[in-house]
Amino acid sequence: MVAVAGFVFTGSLTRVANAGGKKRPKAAEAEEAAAADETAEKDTSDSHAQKASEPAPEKADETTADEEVKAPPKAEEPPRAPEPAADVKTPMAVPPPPLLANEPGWQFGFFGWAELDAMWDSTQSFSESVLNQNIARPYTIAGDNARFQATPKDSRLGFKAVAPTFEGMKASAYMEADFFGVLPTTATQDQSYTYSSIRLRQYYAKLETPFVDVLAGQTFDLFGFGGGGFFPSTPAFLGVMGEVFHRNVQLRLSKTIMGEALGVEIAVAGVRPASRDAGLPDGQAGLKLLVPAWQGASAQGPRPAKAAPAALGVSGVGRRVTVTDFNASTGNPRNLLGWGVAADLFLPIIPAHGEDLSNTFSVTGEYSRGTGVTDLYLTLTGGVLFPSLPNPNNVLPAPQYTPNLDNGIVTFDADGLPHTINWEGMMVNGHYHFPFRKGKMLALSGTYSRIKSSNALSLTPLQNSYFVWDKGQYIDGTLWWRITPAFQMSLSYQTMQQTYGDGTVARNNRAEASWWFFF
Amino acid sequence: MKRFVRMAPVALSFAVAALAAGCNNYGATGRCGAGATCGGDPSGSWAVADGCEFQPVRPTQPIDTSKFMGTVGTQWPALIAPPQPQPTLVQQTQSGDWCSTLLVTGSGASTMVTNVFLWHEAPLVDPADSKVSFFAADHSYTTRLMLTTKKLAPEQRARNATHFAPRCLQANGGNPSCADLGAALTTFYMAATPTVPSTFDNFNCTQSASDGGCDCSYDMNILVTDSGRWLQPNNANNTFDPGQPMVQETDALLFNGVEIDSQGPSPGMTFKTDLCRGGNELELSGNNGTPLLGVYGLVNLTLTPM
Repeated sequence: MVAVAGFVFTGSLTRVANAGGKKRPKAAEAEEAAAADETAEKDTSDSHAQKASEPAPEKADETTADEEVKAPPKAEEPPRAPEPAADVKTPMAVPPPPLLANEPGWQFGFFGWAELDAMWDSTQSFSESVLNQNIARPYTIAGDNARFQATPKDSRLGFKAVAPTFEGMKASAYMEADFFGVLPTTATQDQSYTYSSIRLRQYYAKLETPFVDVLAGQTFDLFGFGGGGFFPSTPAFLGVMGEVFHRNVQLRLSKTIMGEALGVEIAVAGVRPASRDAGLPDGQAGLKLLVPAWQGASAQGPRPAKAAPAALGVSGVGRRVTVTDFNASTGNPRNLLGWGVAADLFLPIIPAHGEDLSNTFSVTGEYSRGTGVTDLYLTLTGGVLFPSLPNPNNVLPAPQYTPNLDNGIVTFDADGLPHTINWEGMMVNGHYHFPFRKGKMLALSGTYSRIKSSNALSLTPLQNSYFVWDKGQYIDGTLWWRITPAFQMSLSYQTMQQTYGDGTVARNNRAEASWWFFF
Repeated sequence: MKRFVRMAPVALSFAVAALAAGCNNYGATGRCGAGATCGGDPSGSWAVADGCEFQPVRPTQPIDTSKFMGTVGTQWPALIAPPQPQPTLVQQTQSGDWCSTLLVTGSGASTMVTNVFLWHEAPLVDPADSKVSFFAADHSYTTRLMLTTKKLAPEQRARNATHFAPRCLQANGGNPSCADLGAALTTFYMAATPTVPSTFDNFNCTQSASDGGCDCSYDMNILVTDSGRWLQPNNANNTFDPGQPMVQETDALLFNGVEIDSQGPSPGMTFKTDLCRGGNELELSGNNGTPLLGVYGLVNLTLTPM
């Protein structure tokens, strides 16, 4: 059996050729369980307010960690014979199978879920997802009128392929997609809800070696340890307001060492920069500590809970931000430094007993702050935009400033000098599992998060202060009912508010019912 | 029973959504709520006793885009709503001009302002200087509404202020002191509206401790005058039925002496007005939340006989 993204599937394609074939240490299993959890949260992004969930790239990561623990130094493994060519093993009348599926030792898994979300909002601020998007001000059409939506877009489809271990190295690939692809702006309302297009969430290759693991492709950012078991238990599309949540293209090097009492993961990554004209990738790094003997119920996003070890993660990001000069006669680009730090915690307050999650209570928390890293909080801008170029002579057409950077990361002050936007966020989530069916039938969860900026308003001209908010908070409560091991539903109430520049508080209340079938 | 219990959450979720969906407000009337529509006879000369406005913060439709944009050397038209960074766009894509399009030249006594577009709070109706008349004989009407930020609460009035960074003051070769700037701004607005209140007055510009620029506070005033005809209902006694709006056709809607038009010249422009006359009061409100008397943000007025 192979576990991928929190799902366990049998190797029906081919048998699993676990090169080492050694029995896993308990610590490694715990780690894997933790990894399994980190999967599915829902997130969203983009103007069309897409949401998405996250899979568990982690799963693959876990596998790596396991290997690390159980396998003796890979250098000592006897060299393996080269894999025979595919066509040698294929009957002559049959063309070569795809992905070398008939090769001994290959694994190929298919997973996902079908999901329906039905949502009522007290305002017309959002399409499917909330995230960090602006809430419509009260006493406006959008702020005073309700909206109801239903969508299957967060349904998930994915696969993982694992090659036979070769000279102690294990190569794999992971792919996951949802249906929050960007639709044309000409799409009608009917089309935008029913003609969903696929969206790539994660797609990466991974090579696990005795010395270091290499991940190349798109997955969660290391900053905030996305997919690392620190997501809140909520049916809301992740990330919730103030939570670090982002996927990106990256090359990551990591090393995990698991002991009986303590596990350590160290990772660094070069990440596609928010500012491509900076000429450099963003740098991210993280350190995660695990306590395998201290297990609790971990429920990532809408995923069913599993036992996972207590964990603490600290991570950081550094980047160069390059922005076009703010001038009608453009000068040289301006360079700034962006940075962020985050601490994440998974704490089993009432621990689990093996796989029995009855009467367990766990808390997940995150604190983060940074400047010039707004894009790592999904859809966050706070309404901060670039200013208009002065046009005192009312020249037509008016001079236009064309930024080379997304809104909300940097803006210019009254003297035309660039500044990165500061944000500070925190999130805490707790969930309790009732003692029915080993704690895997009924659960309650709650989330509180907040975010604030120290300079979003002061860097905005007065005319736009009505459109900029610098404080936001989010609260939810959810009842989870896993009717069968594969079929789950939830009822959730979510309330969120933002404080705009003139002191006006905009608030949205959401009632959400969701159904999942996991496969 | 067991099956019922299993289905209960599903049914409950839909029930909650259905119930909540019935709790709509409207939004277009801001905090003011919908006006009364009991009908009645509007004829008479009325003083403004009370009113309700809200500050429209979404740039839906500027009163007239071409006039809003202005031209070199002319003043921006007076607007009830606070200026929007991009008035023609509902979704803002830029945050506005730090310099408020200030064009100032010279220094000392020769300081001259030839363009500026100041941010302001939405002014409130001054009842003491406002009246509305509906004449029964020829179905004509006249309206005079004085709106001023002087009627705002102190903390809101204090928000009528703009910071001009040194960059803004010196961009066109000027080098005024803050006092020079305040005087030049006063002159700029007085020159443009000699026969009506200055759109902006009470300038007080002081040097900013933060960057050496100028912090200017001020008041904003708009005199709205209108005249035209009101179309009588289908009876001879000028009494409107409950729910029946009064249609007004304007001859000239002026904001501080400047004709305001929405989709063409104001003559012929029509407004629908809901009304409710009860005893010695007449309440007017824009039909279905639309602006009352063509004044964007004005939701309703309570009138008493003059």
